[in-house]
Amino acid sequence: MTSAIKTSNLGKWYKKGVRGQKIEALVDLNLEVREGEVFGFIGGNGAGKSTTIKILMGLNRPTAGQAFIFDTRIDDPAARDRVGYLSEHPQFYDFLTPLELFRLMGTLRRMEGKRIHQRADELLHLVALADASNRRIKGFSKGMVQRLGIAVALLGDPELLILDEPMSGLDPLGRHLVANIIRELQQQGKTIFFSTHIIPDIETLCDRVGILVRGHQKYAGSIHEALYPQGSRFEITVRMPEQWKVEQSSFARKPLLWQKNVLYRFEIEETEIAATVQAVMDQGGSVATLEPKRRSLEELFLQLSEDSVPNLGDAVPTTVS
Amino acid sequence: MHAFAAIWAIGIATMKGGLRDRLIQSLLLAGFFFLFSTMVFSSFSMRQPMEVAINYSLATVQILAVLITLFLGLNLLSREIESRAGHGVLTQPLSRSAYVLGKFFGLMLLCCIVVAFLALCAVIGVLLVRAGTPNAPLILWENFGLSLMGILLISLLLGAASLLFCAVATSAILPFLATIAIWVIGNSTQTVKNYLDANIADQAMTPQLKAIITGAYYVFPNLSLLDFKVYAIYGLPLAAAQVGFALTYGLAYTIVLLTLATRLFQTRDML
Repeated sequence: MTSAIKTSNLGKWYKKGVRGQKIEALVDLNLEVREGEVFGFIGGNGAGKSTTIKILMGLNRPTAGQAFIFDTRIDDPAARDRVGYLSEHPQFYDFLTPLELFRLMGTLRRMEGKRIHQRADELLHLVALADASNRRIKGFSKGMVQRLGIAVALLGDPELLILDEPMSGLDPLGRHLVANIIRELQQQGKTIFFSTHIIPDIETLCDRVGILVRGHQKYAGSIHEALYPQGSRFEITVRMPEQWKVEQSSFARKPLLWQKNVLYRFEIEETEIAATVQAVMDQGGSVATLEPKRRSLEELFLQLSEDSVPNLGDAVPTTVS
Repeated sequence: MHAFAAIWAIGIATMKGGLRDRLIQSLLLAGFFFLFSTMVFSSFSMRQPMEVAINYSLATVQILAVLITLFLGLNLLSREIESRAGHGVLTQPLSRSAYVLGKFFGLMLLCCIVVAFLALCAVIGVLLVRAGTPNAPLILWENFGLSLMGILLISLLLGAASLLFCAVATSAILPFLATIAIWVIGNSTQTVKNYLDANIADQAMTPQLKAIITGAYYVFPNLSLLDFKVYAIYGLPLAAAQVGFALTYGLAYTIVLLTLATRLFQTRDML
């Protein structure tokens, strides 16, 4: 399968100040985004997310490594043929109207005039800007410009969308709109690569996630592996008879998470599930719930940000291919 | 083929931006009033009202064309990069060279419109003065037209210089000041060259200094070569070879500046 995005030891450093102090914005990024997946890119301020995206979009030049979009090197403008891009703070020629902007961008994407008008009409309706199609962008609010940015990114019906903080600056309705657009595009088989600070968005929208901490890639893998790491523990809630005493049972050594009346919640190993269920039934009880002990992405992110090694076992590759 | 379409589209957008800019609209309006006031200023001269009218008209067109080029040049790349408004275009599948050339094409279109508009005002102003002047001398309109062509070329050369400075500078003000410096230097180089060619220079400066100044003369543009105003004012004959050389020089210098600008912009990191 072709990779939508592939980077190999990608790096970017700047020299700052009179002494030319070297600032490393990105170090040895090895990333692969597969066709048809939604890939979330998390990182704190200055982690290197926007730098990565700017390199991919040809706005910045890498100082080390290589990057490819659909197997085309990013320094070739043709690499952007199949890409739609939304920047963190989209800015357009504010002296133009949205329709004029679409005409310009469509021409740059080699689209025919008729097709440009058709797409402009569809997209302005999609982002609820149809009424403003002939107004100068100068008078638009921040949210309107953000929505216009999404429409511009979708203009060429691209196979890959690169979105830098697509939810930033949007009200809850706008965020809902963007989340729906991402889901719809995913169903159409598009590849979406987006960065965000809003971790719940990643959990609900993404298939895989990459975590950057101070320019270093700390994790890249599936959301499922991140939230439910291999060899993880389970939480079992059991309903036991009233006279049942935990300390006198075979559960005495298991970590008791909480107890309420006849309900008890224990933490168990995955390998203990069958034996535990059997023991509960043997002692006259029943299983109320059984669920894998879930780690939130935020917990993982905070853990990685503090430079501690996450307990993810084999599911923590530094590179994923 | 796509590169030409991209250059055209960016050029048209740039031109629209210029025409919709309040500052440029104000300068054009000021030009309109200045040029229609030619009659008032020419009446200050009892003997040569026509010469004053032509001089005043062409000088006004030149100053306004250069001012508009400077302000537009400021917006061409620096402001676009600072405000990130150009990112939308730069992230489309086109080369950076096409982007820079598109900006220049837009500047060229706008300069043509500006010079044409101001020229029309200037011609009307001069014709009104002639109508009110008994025994008015013959106006050499071809020299008047060549002067306007020279003004247009100077504007384009300064626009290309502005693009070159924008391609490397990280702030908007530096290219603006550097382009003004090029304009000032460009208008002085011929005087400096005349001084160097005179015997007095050998006595006043060392051979090393003279070599440096001579080198600078060849590096900086000589805008006096493109200034045909005096030929239009006094109706002096202009040799075709002189015009051909000046036009070739202006175009070649502009092309060199544009080539450098596109090369340097290739490696530029955006904010």
